[in-house]
Amino acid sequence: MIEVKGLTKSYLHKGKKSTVFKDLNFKINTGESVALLGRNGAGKSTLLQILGGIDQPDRGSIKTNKSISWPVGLVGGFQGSLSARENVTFVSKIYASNNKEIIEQKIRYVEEFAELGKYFDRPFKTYSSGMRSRVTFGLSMAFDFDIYLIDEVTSAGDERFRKRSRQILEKKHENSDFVMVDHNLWGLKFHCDRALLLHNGRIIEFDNLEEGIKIHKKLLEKPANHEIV
Amino acid sequence: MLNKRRLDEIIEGFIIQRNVISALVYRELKTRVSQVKFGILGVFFGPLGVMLIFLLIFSIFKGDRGVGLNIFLFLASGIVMFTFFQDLAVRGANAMQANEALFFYRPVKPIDTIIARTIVESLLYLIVFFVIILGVFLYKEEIIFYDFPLFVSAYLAFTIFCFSLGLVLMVAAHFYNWILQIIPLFIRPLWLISGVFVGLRQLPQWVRPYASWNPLVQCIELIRHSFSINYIIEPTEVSIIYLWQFSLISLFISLWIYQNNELVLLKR
Repeated sequence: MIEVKGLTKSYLHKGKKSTVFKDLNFKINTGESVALLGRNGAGKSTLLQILGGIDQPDRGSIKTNKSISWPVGLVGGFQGSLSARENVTFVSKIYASNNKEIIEQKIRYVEEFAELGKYFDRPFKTYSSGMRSRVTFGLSMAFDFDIYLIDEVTSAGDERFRKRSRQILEKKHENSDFVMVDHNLWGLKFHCDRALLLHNGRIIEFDNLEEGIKIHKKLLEKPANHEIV
Repeated sequence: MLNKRRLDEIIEGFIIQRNVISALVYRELKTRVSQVKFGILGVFFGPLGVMLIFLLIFSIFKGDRGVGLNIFLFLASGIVMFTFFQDLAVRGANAMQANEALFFYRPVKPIDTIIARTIVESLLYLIVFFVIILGVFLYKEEIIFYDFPLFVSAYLAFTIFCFSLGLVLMVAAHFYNWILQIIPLFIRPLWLISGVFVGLRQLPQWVRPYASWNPLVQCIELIRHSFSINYIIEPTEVSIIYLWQFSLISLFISLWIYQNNELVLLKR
């Protein structure tokens, strides 16, 4: 369960404050997965980052008794001059309690999923965006979290990668919940029960995903006004 | 009250921090090795090469003017300690920008990056220092350490001081970007007033009370003294107690500043 109360976030740029969202209140129960909808720049990724604890809100609280993943799909914390193997080792060392066997096992898991062959030992900066998403997605799936934050996983990747990542997500879904952002709305239907629509700094909750997507599409027809109401 | 549950949480916190730091040290070493040729040896060639060039230039100019210590050891003490200090200060100030992507993983806190850096740098420069000491030993064939515990103690105290400074600079540079720009302006004059090229006793009498406030001067003089009994330090001016007091007070202040700003640092 995640309970969000009075969540407000703004950025300062050259002394001017722009609010991303204001006083968000919502609750995600254990056992339900939600889709996070909203136009570009509505604050979906910001909200995911705050839920993941890697950004701090101005005000408000997030209560949870579950382990929450980092936003899956974002290439963060990867050192370009190191190989995928070394980068994966680094993250495994953080999370796998210094246990050599577990670390080895995580590396093998990512190596098998990414299917990069010899490129697994080449510098990360030489990878194509598809190769990068295979490694980062595989890495996120190597660890068990109660709640996964998923930000546009399959946008870069071929058909095979999409299919395999969907299979893995389906398997993870048996024990874990998702908070998903994906502009490929069709993909959301596989995993999500509910929708949260971020619009003009407010959140609109839908108990039915289809209905949320319908409203979301309707709002997209008009241009953004970037005003917080 | 410290009950069992709270205690377990604290222990767990330390275990997480240990894992994070060991991961960061791994990353730091791997990154450095990947950026140079000749693998792990290449990492030492950089600083060692810089040291040797400095040593050659300045030993030609300076000659052995009866400082009571081999000129190479005299200069190496100053240059190694100063470069170590400079590295941690500059890298500390840059730490938030350079490591921003790492805070993506929730257990990683800004202070961990400074701890990992301090561990890597202090070991790196210690090895560089020992290579130079070994070189002088092979050349002169005489016992080099007069007071080895003093050497260890001074190096450790100074490492703690550099860590504290790096931590404060990290916080400061996050709030005031211009600090990054003015650090080089401070570093250059510091070279001259920190006893890198001249010993404290070679300075005019009236300067010495002011110069001896500087922990860099203290550390460098103590390390020189640890090599040879003939390198004289005045107990009223240079003392290991003062260096430790200075370091520990800086440590507490820096931790206090960091503690009060950690959440703000993690805000984007």
